[in-house]
Amino acid sequence: MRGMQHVLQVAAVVAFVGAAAGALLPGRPGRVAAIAVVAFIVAVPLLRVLSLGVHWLRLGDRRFAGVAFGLLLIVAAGSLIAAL
Amino acid sequence: MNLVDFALAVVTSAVGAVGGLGGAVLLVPLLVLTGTPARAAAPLGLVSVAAGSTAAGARQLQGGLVNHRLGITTEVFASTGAIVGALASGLASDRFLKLVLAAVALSAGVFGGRRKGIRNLPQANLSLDDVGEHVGALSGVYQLDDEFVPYQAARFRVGAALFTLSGLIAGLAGASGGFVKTPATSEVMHVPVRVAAATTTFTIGITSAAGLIVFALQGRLDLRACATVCAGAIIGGNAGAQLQSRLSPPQVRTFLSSALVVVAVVLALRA
Repeated sequence: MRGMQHVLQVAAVVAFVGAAAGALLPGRPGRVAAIAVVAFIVAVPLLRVLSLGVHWLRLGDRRFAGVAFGLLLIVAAGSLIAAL
Repeated sequence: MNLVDFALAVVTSAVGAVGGLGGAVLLVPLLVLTGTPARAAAPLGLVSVAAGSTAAGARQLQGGLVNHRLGITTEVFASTGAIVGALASGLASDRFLKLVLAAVALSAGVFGGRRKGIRNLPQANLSLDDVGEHVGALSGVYQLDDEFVPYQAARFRVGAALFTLSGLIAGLAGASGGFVKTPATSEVMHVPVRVAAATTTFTIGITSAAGLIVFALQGRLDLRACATVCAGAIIGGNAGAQLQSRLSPPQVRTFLSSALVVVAVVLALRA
C-alpha cells in the first residue's frame, strides 16, 4: 500500500499542475492540458482498481481479485451501454 | 480561470472528503446558482469528485483508513444498481427521485446524529503492524490516536441490498450516491465512520470516472471549466482528508450528519 500511497501523492501533484495549466494557459496548450488532466483523473481510480486486483491475485486472494476485475467489467459495460 | 467555480470546488470537495459524501451533490446546485448551465454543471460535479478522490487518497491510505476490499465489493452492487437505474431512467419523475434522495439523506443524517459513543472500541493487544485490511475478509484495523481499533463489516446482505438500492436511485437521479454509501457502511454495516468515509471517497472516484467517460463521449465537457474545478477539488480534497484525520469519530459523525441534512435541504429545494 505504500507504493500506492506514493503513486497517489504523485498523481495528485501531476493532476493539479495539469489542471492549473488547463485553466490558466491560453489557446491550444491550455486545451491540450485540460484534455490530459480529465483523461488522467478518469484513469487514476480505474488503474487503482486494476492494480489492487493484480496485487490480490499475487497474494493468492483470488476471490477479491475476481471482484476487482468484475467491477472493472461492470464499469466498462455500463459506460458502453450508456454511450450507445 | 473562473475564481468562483474554483472557490466552490475547494469548499465542496473539502466537505466531501471529510464526510465521504463526494462534493458533487453540493457543488452542482451551487454552480447552477452562480450561472453555470445545468447541463454543464453535472460533468463538473463528477470532475470534482474524481479529482477530490485522487487528492484525498494518499492521506487516507497513510492512515490505514481505506478498506479496498470492502469498497470494491460494495461498489459492485452500487455500480450494477446504477447501470440498471440509468437504463430505467424516465420511469420515475426527476422531482420524485430528488424527494426520495432528500428523504434518504435526511433520515441518514438524523439517525447517525442521534447515535452517541463509539461502536468499535480499541484493543490493547493490537499494534501499528496490525493496521490495514485483512486478506480474504471484509475486516481490518485502523489507528485512532495512539490506539488501534479492529472492525468487521456486519450485515453484509442488508448492506449489499442498500448499496444496490443506492446505486439504483443514484443511476435514476444522476448523483454519485456518496451521501447514501457512507451512512450505509457506517450505520448499517457497523464499519467505523472514518473508515466508511475514506472507503466511500475511494469508491465514488470509480463511479465518477465511469460517468465522466460517458459525458466525454457525449461531448458535454467544458474543458476549461473542468480544469478549473479539478484544480480546486485537488486542494479541497487534500485539505478535507487532513481535517478528517484530526477529527474524532463522533466529530466526523456529527459533521457527516450536519452535511447530510444540508444535502437533504439542497435536494428538496432542487425538487
